[in-house]
Amino acid sequence: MTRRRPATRLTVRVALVATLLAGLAAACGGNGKGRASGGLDDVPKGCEAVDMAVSPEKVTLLTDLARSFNDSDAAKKGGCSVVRVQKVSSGVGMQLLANGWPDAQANGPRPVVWSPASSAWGAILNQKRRDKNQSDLAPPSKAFMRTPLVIAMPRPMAQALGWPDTPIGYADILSLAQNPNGWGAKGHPEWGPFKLGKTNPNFSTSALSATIAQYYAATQKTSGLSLEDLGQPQVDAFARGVESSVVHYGDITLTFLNNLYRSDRRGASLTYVSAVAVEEKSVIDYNSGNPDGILDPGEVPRKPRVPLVAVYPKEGTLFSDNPFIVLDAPWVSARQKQAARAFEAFVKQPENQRRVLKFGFRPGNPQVRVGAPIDRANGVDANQPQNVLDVPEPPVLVRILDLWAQQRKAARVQLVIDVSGSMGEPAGGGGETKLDLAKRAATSALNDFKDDDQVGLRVFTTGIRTTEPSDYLDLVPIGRIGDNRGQIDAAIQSLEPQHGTPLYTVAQASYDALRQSFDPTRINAVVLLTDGKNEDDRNPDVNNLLTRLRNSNEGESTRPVRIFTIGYGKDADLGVLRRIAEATNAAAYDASDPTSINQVFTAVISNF
Amino acid sequence: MRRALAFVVAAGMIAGSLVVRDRIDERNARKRTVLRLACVTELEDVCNGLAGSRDVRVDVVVEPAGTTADRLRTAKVADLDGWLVTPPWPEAVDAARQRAGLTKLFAPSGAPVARSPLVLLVQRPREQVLRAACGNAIGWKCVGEAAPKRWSDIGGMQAWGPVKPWHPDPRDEAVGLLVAAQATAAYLGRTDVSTDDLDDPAYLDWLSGLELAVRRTRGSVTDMLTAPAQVDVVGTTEADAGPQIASAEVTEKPVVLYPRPVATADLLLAPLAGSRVTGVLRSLVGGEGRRVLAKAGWRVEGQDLARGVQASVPLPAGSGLPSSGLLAALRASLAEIR
Repeated sequence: MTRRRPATRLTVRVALVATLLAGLAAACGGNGKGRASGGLDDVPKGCEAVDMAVSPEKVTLLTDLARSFNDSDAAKKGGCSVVRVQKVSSGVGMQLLANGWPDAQANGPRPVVWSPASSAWGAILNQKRRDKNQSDLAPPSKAFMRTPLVIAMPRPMAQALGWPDTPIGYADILSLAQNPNGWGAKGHPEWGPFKLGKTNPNFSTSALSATIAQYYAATQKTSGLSLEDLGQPQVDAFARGVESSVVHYGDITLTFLNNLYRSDRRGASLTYVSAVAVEEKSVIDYNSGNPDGILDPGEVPRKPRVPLVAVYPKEGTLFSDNPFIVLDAPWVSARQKQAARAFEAFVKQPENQRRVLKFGFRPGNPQVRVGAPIDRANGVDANQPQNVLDVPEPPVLVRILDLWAQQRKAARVQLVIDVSGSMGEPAGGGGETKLDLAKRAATSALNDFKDDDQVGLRVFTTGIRTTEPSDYLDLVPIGRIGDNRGQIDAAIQSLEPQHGTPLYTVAQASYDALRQSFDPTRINAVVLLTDGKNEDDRNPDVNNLLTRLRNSNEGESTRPVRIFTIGYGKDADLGVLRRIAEATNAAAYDASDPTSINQVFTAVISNF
Repeated sequence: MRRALAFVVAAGMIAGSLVVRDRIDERNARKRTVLRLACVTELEDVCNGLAGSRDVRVDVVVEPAGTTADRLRTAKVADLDGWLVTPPWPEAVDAARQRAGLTKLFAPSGAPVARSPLVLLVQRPREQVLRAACGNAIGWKCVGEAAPKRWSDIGGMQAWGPVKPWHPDPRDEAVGLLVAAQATAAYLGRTDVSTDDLDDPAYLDWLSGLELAVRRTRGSVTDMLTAPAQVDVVGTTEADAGPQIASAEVTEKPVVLYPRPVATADLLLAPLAGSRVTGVLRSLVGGEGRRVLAKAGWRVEGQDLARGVQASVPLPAGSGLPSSGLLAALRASLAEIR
């Protein structure tokens, strides 16, 4: 008996310890879509959340790696930690951090780790804070993977410029963009004018890098870009020249690639866009038949008919270096920093760097050799670039963004806002209606236009007036917003919810009006916000609308007008809105949560 | 007999338990000792390795040597027990404090804890072009002359763009200042450099040409290996470069050169004068520290060389660099240029 008692105690202790360990393992390990999924799930009691904000092109990869990390022993060293990954555009992340990351409800939790696509964003963030006498948030950090900025071109177009034997650069693009014969100067009049796809550098890293590279090309420098350089008249002229060939801007390059891919399926890829400034990784994704880099379950990639090739600009290019920035922020604890470092080390392990390569990025750990899919079969070249540009000093970066706002291609935009009865429904928690929130967001978005842009305000609902057209009303005609901003603002404030939703009629009418008054020196676009479905018995045929939009938007001599749609509230017909946007090679935005309308408006206006 | 045996066993067990208890107590006592160690950024991994020591708690602060120095120069109370750094930083801090009427902070450092020769890394195939331009012997003098030019000016390809040298920032980083000192000695052809030499217009032109060509983008040997065209020529330590290059799986590894005469980064432990934990600190760095440093590629007497460390390259008796005072003056001079 006496001998057995200790054994019994031991058994009990072992059982207790085993239970505790099992509990801990279950708490920290996870086994599926729960909190270990790398998404923004609940964090088990006793575990430390390590929130990570990452740029969109790598969110799938990082979520994947976070899931593996959360399941590994590395996540349990020094206490349990759970890495949660959220997607935040690099420029948006910078701006949020510069403002102290307000409103976690709308913007997601404050990050412990920030991984924009380029460390240039960290430099801009610190500079913006220094300008306000605040301390740096982004300490020096190391790259964990890379991808260079390239000019992606449909292969026949690159060949027409001499690819692969002749080096191509920004100067060649400027020359072609300014040639009145367009592609005719290269023996291909059927391709129309040269059209550049470039995103908004306030949001997108490829656009920031491309804009920096443009300035270097204009100054014929490869390093040491200065504030004085930016002020030179010829540099300003060069920048405006390149921007003049832009199709439209936008917050992410994936919009261009999706549109190009759809055009390609219709055999019309050579007339949508001639070149897009994107990261090398995006070329690989596109040529694999996965233009947005995200394969939905069951989605089978189909290779495009006309593949893209990566042109590495002869003037040099920049790498997106994907820094792993553990923030020096007051909301980041020492334990979170320690856990973040453990995740960084995990990501850099050779086996995980091989996963990085599989996603089309170049590994940041030299122990992993660069190979497929970074190869010629995918339109890219692992031996390029041969020349890399220096990232300018932070004050120069900030100035580049300021200057771009003036030098970018001007816009001509018809704002079209739904004032149907359902816009009077409550939204948010403060007793406000959907229309109230939309009015506030639209007013705020007006400040994102530059004075030289032309903007008008149209509202629509059935029977808005007794004479034809009876379904919409121009409250402010299109005009220079520097002159009519106050007028539009006042008109927005006066909006009241009324009747039904004549969606197709107003879409067609707005589109036709802009086409008739098309200005080739500007981005011509309709921004259409609606919270409902078409409720107009007189015009119920969506296919007719789509066919007309598509037919008049394709071809070498078209006058492309884009319709950017915003599906607002849970009843919006997102499917139809997406098809309308796609028919004009634009983009659809989802604001099914009415409280997100501010961010959505900002994203929409980033196209201009 | 059985009783006697049982007594002996019991006594042995008691004695054994006392010994174990004593060791546990000693370890706990040591663990309660907190060492505050400042480390230069080049030693981040090494010092984080020491922070994981089982015997004592080590609070590590990793920062550029210049940042630590600037803080200590005017500090009333030092927030560290020791500093793992290369010359001339502790000496320069104390000299600055004495000039300001403050007391010296550091006790004598003693012999270097570890050493590593300074190396030049050159990307292939640019190395062949540079070698030809340098008359078959690549050194800092020649690199400085090539730095303001484009590769096509010295026989390379147009596509390579300008010659892109890189070394850590000599105004703040410990190794950066040593590399700049090595380059200065190479230009002048001697190590007995005086402050007058630093004012020589021809030297200043050459140094400006080199330093203004140095990339501002934060670089490293890892960057050279993973983004080959970002930098063409890198100055650093063998400890930084050797192991990384040896384990790299890149298409073309950079060429590792040891400019003659060989100069070294000599790593010192500078203990705070009067600190009660100096002994523990010396014991930590002199024990576990030596193993960690050797594993990281530093040359440590009595320790095996890490992979990528060239045993065939002997080290000089001294550092092969100008004096500590000159290095401090050089830092000031570089601050004006950059």
